[in-house]
Amino acid sequence: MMNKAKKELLLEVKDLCMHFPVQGSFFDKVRGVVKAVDGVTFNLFKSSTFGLVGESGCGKTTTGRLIMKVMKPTGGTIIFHDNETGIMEINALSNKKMRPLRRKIQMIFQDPYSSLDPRMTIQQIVGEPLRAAGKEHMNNYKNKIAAILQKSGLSADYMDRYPHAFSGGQRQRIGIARALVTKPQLVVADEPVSALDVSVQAQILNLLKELQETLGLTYLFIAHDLSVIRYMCDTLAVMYVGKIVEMGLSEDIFNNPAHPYTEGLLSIIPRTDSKTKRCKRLTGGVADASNLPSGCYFHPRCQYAKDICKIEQPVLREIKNDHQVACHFSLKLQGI
Amino acid sequence: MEDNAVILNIENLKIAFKMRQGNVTAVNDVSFQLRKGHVLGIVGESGCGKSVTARSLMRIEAPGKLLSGEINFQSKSLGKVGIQRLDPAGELIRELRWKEIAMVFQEPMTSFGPMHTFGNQISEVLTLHNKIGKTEAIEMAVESLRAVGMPRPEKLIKQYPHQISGGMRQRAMIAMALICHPQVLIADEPTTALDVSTESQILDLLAERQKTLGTSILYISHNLGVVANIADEVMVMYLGQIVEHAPVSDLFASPKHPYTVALLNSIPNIDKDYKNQKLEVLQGSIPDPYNHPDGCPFHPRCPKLIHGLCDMVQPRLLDVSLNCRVACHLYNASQKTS
Repeated sequence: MMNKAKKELLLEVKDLCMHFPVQGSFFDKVRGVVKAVDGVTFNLFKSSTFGLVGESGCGKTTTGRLIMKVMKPTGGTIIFHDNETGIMEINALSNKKMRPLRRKIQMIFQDPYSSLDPRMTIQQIVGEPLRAAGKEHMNNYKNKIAAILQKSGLSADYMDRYPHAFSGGQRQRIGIARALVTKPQLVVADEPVSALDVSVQAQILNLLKELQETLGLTYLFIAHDLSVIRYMCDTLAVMYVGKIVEMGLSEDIFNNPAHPYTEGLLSIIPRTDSKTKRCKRLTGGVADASNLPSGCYFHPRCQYAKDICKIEQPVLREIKNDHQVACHFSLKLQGI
Repeated sequence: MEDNAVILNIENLKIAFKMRQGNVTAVNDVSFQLRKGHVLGIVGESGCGKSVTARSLMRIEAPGKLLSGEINFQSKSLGKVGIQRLDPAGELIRELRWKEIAMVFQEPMTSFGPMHTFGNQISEVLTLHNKIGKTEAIEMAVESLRAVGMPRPEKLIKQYPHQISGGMRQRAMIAMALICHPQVLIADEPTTALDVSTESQILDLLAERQKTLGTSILYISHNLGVVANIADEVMVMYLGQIVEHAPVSDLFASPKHPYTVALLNSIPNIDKDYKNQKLEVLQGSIPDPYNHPDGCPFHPRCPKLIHGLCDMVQPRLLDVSLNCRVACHLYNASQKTS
């Protein structure tokens, strides 16, 4: 666990918005917007893991993609604290200016089967970020690849093989090696273990933790599996239709969830010890992002909803140190 | 039929796939029983043969080939049937499919035909198996959709699969599977593609329908938590074999087989603070199906390997206590001497 005294900021995300236009047909005017990410604010600290968790469609993947600058956000700022070039506002950079930064922010993808090009050898796949980073990173090309493959738990002898020769877990290790070969400072891991079998999942999670310790990596860890998030993350944010509803230290959120949605999510996870059966229910489905309910987006599913929840949208506020909740009644729920 | 009567009795089932690289035995000498009103969970990692086992009960195991073994089914209309002898494309098995043995498939996205409305697809099951007209069948389809908690089923009847969400489609699938009140429901990873909140609703729904209709369920999943919640007894499979079979409380409270122990340890516990602790990891990965290890299939990864025994002799699945079967030399050795 990180030392709190030495928290050093790596990435600041402020009021990040991604509103996708909804078009009827090709010639139609824009009918409305889907707020995939709506006013998301969080900070990432060096050598720690920040988790984003939520059900499908909550905007966790979009947030990750915006930080990777796969697309341009419609609002907000992303500030990257680079130890070489200083503070950079990623969202304002042109693609050309972004290029030298790309090797410092890398990504691990969900599906180890479709994220590796079947026509490239492992050496080509893992070396591609180096080639893209420019000539000055090409010295010791092979040695760098061999070293990172070994760190990822693969033999360097595999360099000339193609992805089809590897199992799912090994492919994910290749994906990890590719992300780490340029010595990035920030790694965005989007559901890195959800496509893997449980025994392999544990191997990959432990590998990610080991690599974090040895290389001082910072992870933005996106997942829908709360138990994986708890295992990996120091701090986390729970998202619901584009907004963060609760954010704080992992142990605070899991031991004392303050938002009804978090509480509901935690209560319905099927557990293996028969004593803690699923109890409270999370009824209904995720709100439709193109037709959002008034007030708090969660109120139609919330068992504590009162009149105010239907009218006024709650803002994210601090209920205690490092624990923020967007709920009108969070203090009462916690019994404070 | 009395309670706890055996509905399905599977003995020494063996299914293989013919591949270019050789034959792969996907299911090897699997025997178990399914009792009336019981939920039997099958867990295991990908490639362990859990889906093929389930599919063979409806004879949709192709392209796999059922080599040997018996599947004895206590049918309501046909009496005792040896399903293994039926022609997969013949009249008799079609009589059983969906009417007495139904299945909920993993992917709600692809298990409905995209070109027909839900009304058409669900009522087809009824008109095929009962002498009723289309309008009556549609009415019954509406009722069964209502029973699975579908809002506005009259509207859904006229809709196509792409128009509704995955969770709703899975509900419709369950409604369709239960519409003829089958004796056996095979649920092959029915919640894997769904969100946790939807998953919990589907699990509650299955449990509720199972209780009211007295259906026996064969529930296949790789998620141990889900199985712990829904099943009465659990079978753990590894490389086509059953390695442990026990009542749900015993299996999760005191797992016997090293593979079961390792599986349980490798899932992060949501109620535990890990801090700097690591997960206990099962080394290695599932062996290549073309190179089946000698002896116990699990021995190359087993932390409790006994050299000269586990890598030579295949352990048999033997009773270690009441209703508990384990295939491991650690437990079988004591039994042989006694």
